[in-house]
Amino acid sequence: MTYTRLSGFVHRPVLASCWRVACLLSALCLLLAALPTNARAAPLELRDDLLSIEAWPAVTVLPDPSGTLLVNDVLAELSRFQAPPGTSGTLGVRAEPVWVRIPVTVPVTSNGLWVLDIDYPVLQRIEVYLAADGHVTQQATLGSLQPYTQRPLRSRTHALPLAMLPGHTYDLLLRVETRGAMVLPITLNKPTTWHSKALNEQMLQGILTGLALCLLIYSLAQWLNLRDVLFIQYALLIAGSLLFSLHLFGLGTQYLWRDMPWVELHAASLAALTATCGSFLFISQALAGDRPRSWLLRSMRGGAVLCVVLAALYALDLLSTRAVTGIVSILGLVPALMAFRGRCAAQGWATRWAPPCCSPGCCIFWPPPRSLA
Amino acid sequence: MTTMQRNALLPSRPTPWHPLLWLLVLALWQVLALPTARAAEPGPLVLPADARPVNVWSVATLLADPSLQWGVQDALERLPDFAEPPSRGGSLGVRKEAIWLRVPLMSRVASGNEWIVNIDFAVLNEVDIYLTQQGRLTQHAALGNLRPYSERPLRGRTPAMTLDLAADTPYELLIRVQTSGAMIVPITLSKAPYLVHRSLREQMFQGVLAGLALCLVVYSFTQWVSQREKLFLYYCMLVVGSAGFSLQFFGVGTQFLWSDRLWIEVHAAGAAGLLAIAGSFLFMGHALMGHMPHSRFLRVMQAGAVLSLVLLAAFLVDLINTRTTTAIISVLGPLPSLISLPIAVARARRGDSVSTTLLAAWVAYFTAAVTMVCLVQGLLPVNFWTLHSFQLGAAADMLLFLRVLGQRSAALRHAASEALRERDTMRSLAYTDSLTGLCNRRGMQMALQSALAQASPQRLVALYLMDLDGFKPVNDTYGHDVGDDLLVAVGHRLEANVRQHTDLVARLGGDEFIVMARELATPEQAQELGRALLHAFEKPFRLSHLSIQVGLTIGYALAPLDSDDAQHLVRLADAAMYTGKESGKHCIRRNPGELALAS
Repeated sequence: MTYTRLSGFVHRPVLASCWRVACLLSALCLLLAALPTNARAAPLELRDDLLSIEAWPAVTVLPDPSGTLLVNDVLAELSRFQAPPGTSGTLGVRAEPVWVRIPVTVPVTSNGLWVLDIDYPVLQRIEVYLAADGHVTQQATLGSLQPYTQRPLRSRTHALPLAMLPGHTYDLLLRVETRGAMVLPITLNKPTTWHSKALNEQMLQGILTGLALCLLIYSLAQWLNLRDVLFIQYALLIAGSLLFSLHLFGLGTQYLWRDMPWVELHAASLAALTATCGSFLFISQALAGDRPRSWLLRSMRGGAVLCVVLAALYALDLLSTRAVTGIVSILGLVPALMAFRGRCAAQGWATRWAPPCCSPGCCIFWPPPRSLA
Repeated sequence: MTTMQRNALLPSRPTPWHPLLWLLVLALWQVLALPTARAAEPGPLVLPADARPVNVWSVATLLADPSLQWGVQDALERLPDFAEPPSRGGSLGVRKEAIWLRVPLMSRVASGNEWIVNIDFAVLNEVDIYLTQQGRLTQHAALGNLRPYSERPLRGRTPAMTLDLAADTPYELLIRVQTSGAMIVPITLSKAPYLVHRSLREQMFQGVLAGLALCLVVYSFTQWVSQREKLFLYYCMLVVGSAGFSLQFFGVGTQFLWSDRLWIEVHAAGAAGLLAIAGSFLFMGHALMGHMPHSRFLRVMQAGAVLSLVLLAAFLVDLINTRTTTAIISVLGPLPSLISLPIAVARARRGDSVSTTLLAAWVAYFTAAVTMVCLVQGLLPVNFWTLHSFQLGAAADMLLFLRVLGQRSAALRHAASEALRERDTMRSLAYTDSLTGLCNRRGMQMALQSALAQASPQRLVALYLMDLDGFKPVNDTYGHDVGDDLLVAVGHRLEANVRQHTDLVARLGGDEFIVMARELATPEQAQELGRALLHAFEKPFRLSHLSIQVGLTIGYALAPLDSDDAQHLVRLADAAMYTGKESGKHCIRRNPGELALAS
């Protein structure tokens, strides 16, 4: 029913042209995927004057559906690595662990001190092996589910200082396993450059968090002063979005729920459900708060109750993360779409508010690689 | 004058600080102001193998260079002269001379740039870090906020340098500091992971506060633009000044906004401070006495703001130097609060919430200011809370002032709704008949004009003019009070017999009433409505113990069929009513233009 209603809004020629574009894109993707892939990517030359190097051009991958390959097995079968399919920087959503290989050479002029950085904090487990001549010289385990205090560099991102000998060639092997999207913005940086970049990103994240906090404080204060329920609903929406963002960018792990695996696993979906619940309440109140018997208000409040029920079921582990992610991806769009239905009341308003309201749901399902953003 | 002498003078200055705070300051002074002595030859600081940070102040000794001319060799020649510091808290007070710090250290293993020396205070003008071994210089970095940012070996907020140490080799770490402001030197030696952890945490903290300030600036500025309420603009000035000061003080401005622009680096703190003071004068003045524009208090506060802005201009064109400006800010800074204090206290006692909020903000401000003064004078050790006291106090102030804005907004909204209500009441009085509460002639005229604009042959407007039959005898028999009661009852009965949303009943005066009916499809419907009104008067009116029977004569006309002019329509209806009266009363007559008009 909802689908029928929604499709009524889209003009048929527009649908047809969208369909054609989608077909073309799919064909192009299939064509690209079918092309022979180059498994022998050139090694990265770690020259000190480059300061920060994108690793993706040198990346090859080896999926491990059985999850049984050990580093020695992989080192013995380096020829099986294939160039990664699809978009640069991401391997999409994968249930199986994937081995990533990055061959590097250290010129004699380099001091061999580099920092490996993977700027996607929600990757759950990353095993890093540095190997030379078939032998592992350095190894570490990173990932959001690893104890934070044991991180080699206690930062938002997954980072590891690498000590290599000048004039040698190494294989950097990563075994990545995660339930969500396998986004891999991998860079190799000189330590001072990494530090400077980390400080810049931390400042940006701090400013954005400060802005969200300010909005949260303001809306709570307004609610206390005016007792207008719209403000507490807005605060709920902001709090959910803020928590989601804190989780996605690793700040929650860094400062709020350090070494709490349960929170780390549940934070994204609970935050998204909170934001969606806030969206339902806020949008319905803004559009139809003065008409308590309207269908819009009642059905959107029903949506909010559904979010609360889902959150409770998920918190009690009666629903899986995958199921909740799927539900939130669709449910997150509903408040904005219903607002379009009730757009007679405030058409411009709904258009303005739709993108922020549906963003958490979208982000869970389609997280963009931030190195490309 | 030494720091200790200066410290000794502090308690004699008359200030409004709470006596308990002075006791605290005195107690700390007694503990910390111990006599300095030449240090015994110190043993080297052995760097631990694990990642623990090392507090350099546990072994540091110092030597002052009043000439400001010494190089590293001069310092190396004077190693035996280095003395115990007056305190090991990390703050050396305000000093004009350059200070040399000596830290002998040794690593059991080759460090390979693993160790980093960091001074967690961004606004030291010149910091030179020298690593020497057996009188020979092995490493040097020229740091400080007045040195080029792009040449820093580690590009962060604070001065830092990596140390390349050979195993089991004694080194002398010499640090030369020269600065025009407070010499706060919290030095730590740590490995990269610790420094990363600490610096990222601090960066996050600064980011959150910067984001908070940015949000407040945008909010207050847009509110000012949309509402034209000055208080928002003054608040905006205050936040910009306060945040600008913090951006400079914690090195964030140098790091991101004005890297390698020394003029801004030199002027940012003073300019931001004076702007914040001007904002404070205006904000507090307006919050407390904005409703009395000619009050003496408001004029004094405005004069304070003008003075601050004039000084700001003089500072920007270099008519006054940084040191003088710092002194001016120290004196002017507390004035807005101190001048406002008596008024705020008096009002808070009377339960004024704005004044109570301002008082809470000042408590936060003065606590932070006292902590900062103690830190600058070397009376409190450097740690997260003392170093950030002023920033935290300012943030608390901003949020509390936000509450003042909220209260002002609420007051404005209340005043606006009161004015609206008053206007509605006045309008209502002008267009209402005071006896019956129905529309009067003026109200009916407006409604009729509006209805005629939308009238058409399919949407007729009927205008019924009606006069009571036998009203005068009622007045004569029972008196005017009963007559008035009857008129009210007539009004109610007419209202009860017309349609709710389309028809309007009005009293023209005396016993004359008028009914306007819109949205009529046919002339027959109009006639039917008129008959219904007539029928309604067949029952007597019950007024307490009296039962009074009066009749009704109705004349009416239709728009646009009979006329589309309001005045003409009334005259047509009047003529019809007159004809009805003449032909026996209690009847209804339409005048499609055939009946003669009265005049």
